[in-house]
Amino acid sequence: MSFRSIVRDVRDSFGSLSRRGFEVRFLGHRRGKSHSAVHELHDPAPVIQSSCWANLPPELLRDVIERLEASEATWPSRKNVVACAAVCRTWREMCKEIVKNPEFCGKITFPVSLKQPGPRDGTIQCFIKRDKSTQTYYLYLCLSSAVLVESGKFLLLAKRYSRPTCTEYTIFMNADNTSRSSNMYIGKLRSNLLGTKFVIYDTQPPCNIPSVSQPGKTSRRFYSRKVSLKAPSSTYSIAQVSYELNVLGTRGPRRMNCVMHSIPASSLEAGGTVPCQPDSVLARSIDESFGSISFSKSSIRDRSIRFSSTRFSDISVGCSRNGGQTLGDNNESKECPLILRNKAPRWHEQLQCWCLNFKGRVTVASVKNFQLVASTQPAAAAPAPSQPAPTLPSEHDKVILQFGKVAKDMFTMDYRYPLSAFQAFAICLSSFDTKLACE
Amino acid sequence: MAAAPSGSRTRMVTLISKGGRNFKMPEAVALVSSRSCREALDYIEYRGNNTMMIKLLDIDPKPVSMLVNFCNHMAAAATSAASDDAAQRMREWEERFLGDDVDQALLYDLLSAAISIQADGLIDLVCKRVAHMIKGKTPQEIRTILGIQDDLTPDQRDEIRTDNSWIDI
Repeated sequence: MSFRSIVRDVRDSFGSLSRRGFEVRFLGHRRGKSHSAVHELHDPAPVIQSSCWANLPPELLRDVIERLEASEATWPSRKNVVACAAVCRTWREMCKEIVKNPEFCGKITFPVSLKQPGPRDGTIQCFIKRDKSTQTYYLYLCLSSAVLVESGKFLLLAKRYSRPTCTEYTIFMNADNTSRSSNMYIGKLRSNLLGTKFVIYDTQPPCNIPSVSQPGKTSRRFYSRKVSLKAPSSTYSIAQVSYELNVLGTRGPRRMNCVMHSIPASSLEAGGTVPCQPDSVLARSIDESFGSISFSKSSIRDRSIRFSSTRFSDISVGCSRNGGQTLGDNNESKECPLILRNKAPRWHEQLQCWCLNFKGRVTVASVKNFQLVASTQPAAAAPAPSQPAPTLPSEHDKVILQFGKVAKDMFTMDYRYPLSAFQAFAICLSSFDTKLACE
Repeated sequence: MAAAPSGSRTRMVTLISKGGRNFKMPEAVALVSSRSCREALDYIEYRGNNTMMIKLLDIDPKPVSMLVNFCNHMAAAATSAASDDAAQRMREWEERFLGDDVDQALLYDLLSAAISIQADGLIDLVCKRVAHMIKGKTPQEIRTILGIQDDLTPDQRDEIRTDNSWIDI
């Protein structure tokens, strides 16, 4: 072999390896700096990104954003991740790809995290502050592990309204604009007169509504903005909470029962998930379901009446009450909803009180305190009063929602999959209102 | 440091920048710093003492020289014992390496050079620097720093308005 051929071999072999890398990696670089004309022809976007940094190869943009996301794990610095998602389209898409749902990472990042299920491992710890003078309740994400420290990231607020036949809590994402037509309104809780039955409403429809043809469904961008901002917000019943005295009457803790229409019982099984999670808190989904307003589809208009809360709740609970009655026209919603019950406290003979192990997160005894676990029994919504305190199978022993008092006007709320922060908050609010006391 | 077989000269790897300038580093350094070199050297059965030449003809001499400097430094640091002091010294060196005189354009060229030979250590360092530059900045500030234009859709702007009114509370 001559010297020249050896050198050539070396160069060629190296070249063939790196050339691939070269071209793939340099395409962005060259295009960005000197071939913007080429870019223009192929890029459908109206804005041409001419800076080389704007055309960073995806794997590098991912590297940068992943580093940022990993280093800003907690609030308030987590807002930097939200800032990156507001720079431009590619950055927003990359951020949304990198930031995992709370279900997988246990972190709250975008407002939509409030409507997505909590973590499968561990809980998200929050606290609620009550302001009696303004009848307002504030939900915060705990930033400190110490129970009494009021250091938190604001999540939601609820304003309580007392009406002649019911009480309502309207839930918002911030305090500035508390009108129901604002984008900040995300749902409400309504109670009956006695405070024994509550319904939770969401401004976004759950997917197990009786099927509606949704012409805009394939593309979320296909909706009529002018309607979403001006039309009064509609709400959809997603859960019912009821309270009862137990067999001991007022001498024992009350019994809670939550029927979660938007969460199937199968979500707790191996491989189960919560279907149809929103990708935005904006209630623009209303237009997709209320296609009659923007698309004039008469078939949808006819079905709009089904979205009224009472009709909906009748339909959904039918699954559990009547042994599997099907919903609507197709068999999509045969699934039973998840039912949560409060864990029965034990009577502590020495201390002469009912005890639940709140693991240090609840420190003041109160009838409002509770721990919710999943019920495996597909029984009727209200448990029979003659039953003794239920013993639950071990696989459903995880406490899905825990709520309790730690100081005057301060309460902790810890939740996990499959509940979302919004649902957990609404359920906790019902505990404030019920008039069933315990001696 | 250079694991040259006894009796032969240290084998070198040469990077050639725009304008035909050569920058050399020992092969042992290249092996530690560059994945492309490792792959290439696995591929070749026999090359004697010939220098491997890597053409980076699109890249200016300065970033290529910095790249070689970085690789040499990293290889030397890898051989010394790990300790808190050593880690601290490395951080200080990295700060001086990407000092105030390294502007956006140079940073980008450095990144391109590092990518071209898959010098993961330098890629990491530059990405870390970019993440640091944008931390704590508003979206408009990030756009200004990196020269990115706002091409968000109306839907996205709506969502962002909602995000913004919630994150600052």
